[in-house]
Amino acid sequence: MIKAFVFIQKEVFFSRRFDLLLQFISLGLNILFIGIFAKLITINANISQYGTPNYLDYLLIGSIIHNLVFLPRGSISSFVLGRIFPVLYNSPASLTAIFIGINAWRILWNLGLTLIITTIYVIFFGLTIHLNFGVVIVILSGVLLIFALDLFSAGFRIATKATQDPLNWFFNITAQLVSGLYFPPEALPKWLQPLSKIHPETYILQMGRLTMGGGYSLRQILPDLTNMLVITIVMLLLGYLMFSWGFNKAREN
Amino acid sequence: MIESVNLTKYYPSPIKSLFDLKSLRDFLGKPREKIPALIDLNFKVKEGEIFGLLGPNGAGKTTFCKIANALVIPTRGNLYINGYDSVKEHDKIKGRIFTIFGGERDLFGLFQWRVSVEKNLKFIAELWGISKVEAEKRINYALELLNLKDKRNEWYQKLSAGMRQKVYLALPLIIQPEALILDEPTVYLDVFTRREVWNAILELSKEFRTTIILTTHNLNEAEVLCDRVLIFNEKKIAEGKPKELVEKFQALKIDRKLLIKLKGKVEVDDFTGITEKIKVYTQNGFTYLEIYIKQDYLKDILTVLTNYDVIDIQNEAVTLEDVFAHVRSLDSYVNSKVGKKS
Repeated sequence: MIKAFVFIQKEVFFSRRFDLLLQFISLGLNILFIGIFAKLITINANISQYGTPNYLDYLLIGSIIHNLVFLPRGSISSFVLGRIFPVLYNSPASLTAIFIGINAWRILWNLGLTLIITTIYVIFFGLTIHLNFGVVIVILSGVLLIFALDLFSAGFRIATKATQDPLNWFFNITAQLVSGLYFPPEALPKWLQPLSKIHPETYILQMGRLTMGGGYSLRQILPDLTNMLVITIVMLLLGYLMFSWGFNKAREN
Repeated sequence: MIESVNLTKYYPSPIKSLFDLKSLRDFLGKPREKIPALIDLNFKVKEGEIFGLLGPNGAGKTTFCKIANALVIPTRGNLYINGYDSVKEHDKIKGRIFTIFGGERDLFGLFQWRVSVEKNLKFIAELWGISKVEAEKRINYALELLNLKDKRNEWYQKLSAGMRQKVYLALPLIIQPEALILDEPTVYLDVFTRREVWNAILELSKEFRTTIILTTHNLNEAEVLCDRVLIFNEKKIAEGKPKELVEKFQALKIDRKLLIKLKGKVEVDDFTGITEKIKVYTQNGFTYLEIYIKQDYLKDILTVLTNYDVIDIQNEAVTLEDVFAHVRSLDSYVNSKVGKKS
């Protein structure tokens, strides 16, 4: 069944050839600008503590991790609030299978793009990456955390019938500003640094850079990873409760 | 079989804004004013039967469809589909019921616009777990029945709105559900397309013994398709076979329409005391009188007409539409059809 979703979404995707061309052009420009930007910038901070040898690696690895963990963002809201939901809700397929199916092509395509971007970074910008079990676990737990936040946000949106997604928007914008995606958190003004310390993406990026950039093993990042896993489990539970409440509230009202 | 037992739904009144304190307090738990959508709706539909739910806008037809799909939780009462509660035992009826929300065009989002009709239908068939060979057979059959064979390889987006709705209506022919809910399925269709869809609905009931609930404004449609109808406006007003309802209300002497063609001028005052609902117009040199009268006044009208050079009298039979208007006591509805006294 998931195959059927992937097949039909692929058909739609490749029917929009001009969009595809524009997507590749913007991807190329993105890579170019980030690369040039990273080469030109000098950051007055201790970059090596993040496991990356220089600012270029710091920025590129951060951007790869961010792209990967943010893959499920908005997937639940777009499914439940989407036009297809009322009909599919009564199909014999399970909701989980439909949910995976609806997002499968987008996730596969974005994974492919991230792979292309990473290869270009490695070949043309001299990026050094390490691939080990720690990288996989950090990315998977990051994906789970973003999924939990999305579940929470979807519950809120369904209950309030909001067309906008303020929680995801807030999380995404703060992730870009304070989590250390583009520059180390210590470069932030002092009053903003506490926000960086409580932002989950800060820890995802830190552990991602240590494992992917610095080649740290799973054991070396275990204390931080355990903290993040606890937060993830709590968020998943809260997300599930919020979603169930929102879904039932919407069906009652 | 579908059974509605005291099905009732009240919606809380809408919240104006979450940014004002009172509305926010209301949202968080203070009881809000209740708006009725359905009140104690009771009926039973047998297997293979086509049952019409007739009601004006806001009567609760779409709420009923949403309860059947577990998208709305009833305030009280139950809707049983093949013995299972549509909301509490939703998992057990998943895949066995299919709904076409014809009045809500947004739901056409089910189909991918830049994909052919055939691929769209195959995708849905696969979701419903129908094997490739069987899906092919059923798609051929549905496209043939709905006269869509030449549109098979067309992109869905290139079809007209009516064609798109027909493609939507091909789905129950492919899925062949045990229960089918059709929410105003022909609302945007022209008269020819509507007849093709009617054939498909009759075929589903006859060939596959599908239990069908049809909500509609189109009373002609209900008369042609439904074995039984229920007229309601939040609450049940009348239930029965369309023909029986018409006969029953004919016996209650509901207004019947006469169309009289005559030569010369008409004095409207001649009809005072017989009917108030009269419309006079001229066409091709003849005068036409449209009057709504009670059965009791038939003799009086014929007496008055002896003073005129009458060419033709047409007595229009009581239709379900007349019944609908009568039971809702909508004089304004009848008047709007007749027009002002001229």
